[in-house]
Amino acid sequence: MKRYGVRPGTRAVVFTNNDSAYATALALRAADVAIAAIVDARPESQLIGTLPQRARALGLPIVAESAITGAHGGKRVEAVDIAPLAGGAARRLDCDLVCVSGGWNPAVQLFSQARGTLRYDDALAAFVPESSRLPIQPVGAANGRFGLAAALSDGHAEGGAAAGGTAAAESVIAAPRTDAERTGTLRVLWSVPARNRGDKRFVDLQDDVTAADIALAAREGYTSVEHLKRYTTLGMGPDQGKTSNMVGLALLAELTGRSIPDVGTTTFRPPYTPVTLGAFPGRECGAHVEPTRYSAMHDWHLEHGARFVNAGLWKRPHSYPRPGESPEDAANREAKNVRTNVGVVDVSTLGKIELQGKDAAEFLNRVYINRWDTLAVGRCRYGVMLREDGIVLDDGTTSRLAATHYLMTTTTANAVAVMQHLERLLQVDWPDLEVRVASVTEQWAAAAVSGPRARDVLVRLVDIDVSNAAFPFLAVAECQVRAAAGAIPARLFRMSYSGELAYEIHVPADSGRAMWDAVIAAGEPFGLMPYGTEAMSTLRIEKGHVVIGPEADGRTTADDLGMSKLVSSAKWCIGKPLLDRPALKTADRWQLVGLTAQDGAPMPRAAKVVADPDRALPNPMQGHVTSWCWSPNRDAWIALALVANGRARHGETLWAVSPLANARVRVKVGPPCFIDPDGERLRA
Amino acid sequence: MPEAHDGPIGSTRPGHYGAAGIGVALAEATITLAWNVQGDLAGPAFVEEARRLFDVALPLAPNTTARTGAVTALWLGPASWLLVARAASPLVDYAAKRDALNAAGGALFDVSASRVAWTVSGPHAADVLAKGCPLDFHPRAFATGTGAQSVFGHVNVLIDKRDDDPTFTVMVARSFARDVWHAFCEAAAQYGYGVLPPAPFR
Repeated sequence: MKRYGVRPGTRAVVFTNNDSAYATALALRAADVAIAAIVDARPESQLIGTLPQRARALGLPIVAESAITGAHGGKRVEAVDIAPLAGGAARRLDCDLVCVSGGWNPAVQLFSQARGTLRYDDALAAFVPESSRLPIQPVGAANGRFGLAAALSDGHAEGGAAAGGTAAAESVIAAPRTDAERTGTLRVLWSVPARNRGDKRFVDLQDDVTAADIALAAREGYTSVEHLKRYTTLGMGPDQGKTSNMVGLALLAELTGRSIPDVGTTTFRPPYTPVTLGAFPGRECGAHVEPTRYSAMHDWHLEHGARFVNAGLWKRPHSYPRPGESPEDAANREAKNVRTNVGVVDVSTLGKIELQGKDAAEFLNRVYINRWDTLAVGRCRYGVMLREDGIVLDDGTTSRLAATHYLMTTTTANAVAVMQHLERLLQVDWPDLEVRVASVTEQWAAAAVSGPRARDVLVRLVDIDVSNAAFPFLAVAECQVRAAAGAIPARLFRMSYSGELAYEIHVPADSGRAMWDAVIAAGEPFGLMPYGTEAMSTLRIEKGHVVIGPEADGRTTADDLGMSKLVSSAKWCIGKPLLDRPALKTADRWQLVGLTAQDGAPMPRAAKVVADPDRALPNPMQGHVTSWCWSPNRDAWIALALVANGRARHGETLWAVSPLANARVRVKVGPPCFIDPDGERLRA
Repeated sequence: MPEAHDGPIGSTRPGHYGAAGIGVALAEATITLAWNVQGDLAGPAFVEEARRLFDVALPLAPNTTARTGAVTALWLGPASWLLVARAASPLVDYAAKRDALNAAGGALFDVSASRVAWTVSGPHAADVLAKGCPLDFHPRAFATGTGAQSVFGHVNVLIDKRDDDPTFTVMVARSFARDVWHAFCEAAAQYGYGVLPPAPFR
């Protein structure tokens, strides 16, 4: 009424057990709503408060020691029955509005969510705050001290105490004064006794829970207040029981012969009040759900037509389609160009971890399957890490930059996990090792220049001798990159993901763009093309390089992937003891092989490998395809696959099938390497 | 909220943006040299070597910083500090210093390009930071000289308070910088903000 200026009815009955409902009656009266009666459960002698006196002075009809015992009406109330609580005939009062007040409960929800304890106050018939270990002090009505006077004086006292120290002393504010008011006590009345069979006495108006429902719950054995809630849905509506929980648990107490404090309250859970879902994400919706990570060369990719994909949080170029070219055609063009000419790819996203300390080599020995104490300064090596159960965890290359300084690279997606793995080992398992690690993924922007003409480009780009003799496969050195604005200090690595002659150039990330521009300029006379993740993927499948995820899928061992030679017999490493488990050595383990599709048919998506595609289900799987692509360098659909006893089955013909897509293709099994199996191009 | 908009919120061009007035000033604080020093404070060789090499007393208490004429040292962890050069400084001869620290049981990592830093200053600087960072920026809780690691939105940040203006320096990993700068600008728009030209890290 006061907020929206709306009259909720024309003739009201107010039913109460306390003084404050009289304020409602007075407000209704002032808004020209007729008061048919104020029905008060208390005897006349308790109606001494200021508000009842004011109502009496205005001549509002007050019926003491009585209650509403019935209501009439269809779509809205038309009349109520009122009767003395002690018993006696009921009489009918016409009305179109009923107001019911049972008293007040302090809003203890937030206090309770903050682990505050409650105590039951008999006089207020409510739970009030007791104590909290957090610095929270409810004041005024929130503390069970109702009324304006209490709110002002409590707020003044506690606010001063909270401000504390000189701040409080310096700003003395006098507490405002209020008119004296008298308030009568309330009468505890949890329910009006039912008079007729079938009387519905609603407790929770939102979820339609009646006193009879509560009685049924008690009879059925749901006597815990939490069970009562879930059995009846009492308190589960939008108001979360603000108008019903107290009554419900009090009735349960009566029904089960316990005190109200013994029954207790249900756990208060956030949110205190319904919250619009939009308030939770705030601005973090659409593109802002997650942050996006950009490489230092991002703008160049954008300017040159790159189509981007998400690699975790990173944006990476998938391919650089030319006008009229589909992304697939672009990727095939780029992959073919790398094997016949030279290309450059942005590999800045790779995880990079530096390790320093006198025990660094020993640490690497324990973490990787192969040996690192034999790695010379200025050399790098491929490494594989296992989980404690012997399954492949991650792979990458590690370089020795100086006597006690190493650089480890990891799969982009695994960078954080591997860093955590190393940190945990050093802090928990081997704190005696003198090794320190730092993530330097962000420090270095990186590009890989790959292809038969890569050296021609490098010669124009860096200031060191990059001949095969001076800088052989797996060499590492510092150098300067000749860029337009001056020399950029760089690290140069002769390693290859594509299987071609290749160099990785790392520069401090704030010089990344300048380095990339220099590579493009140096490669221009040779028709150097940028390539993206799709071409990179094609190249590595052609070469048979495994990837964490597809091939190292959490079930495969180093031996399954054809890397058992890498496992050094000379030292222990994480996972080595459990490699001896019989199940990891059976003859029919699925082993990495290459598949070449016959008859020009495409490789089905996520295909399974079977011997006879027409065999009725269940058709025993011989294996499955882990990675596949069109190979522009072999003019065929190829795949890497895990096949039972695969290494003994080269030359065999099997079928790659996808029952879901109803697709099938005959495949020939061979080694998992389709290009240059002896690695001559790598070492050129 | 709509994705596309014509406004320059998120632009790095110097100028005034957002509401009228300058509630906060943003500028890149260009880092030229930054090294991560790691080592065990219980090792006297490391402590001595660090002081000799960098001429700064590494801050011992968590979330504190130390400043000399040339270097700001920020506490990152019980055994890790970030040294950022402010002027022609002792952060030279990386390789020799790394070897010396390795020999003393510590480590030195060059992370000069890893982070982008901005200064956030002015009457509403704390309000802008508070929109994305759960730390308490009230002067009693975040005094000048405090350096704390937290998040802005979902991105790790390192925030230190340079003076009582207040001026904060916020550092974020380079690959996230674009996103976080945009978030700063959105947070600052309602107060009016000025973008100043980049200045050396101070």
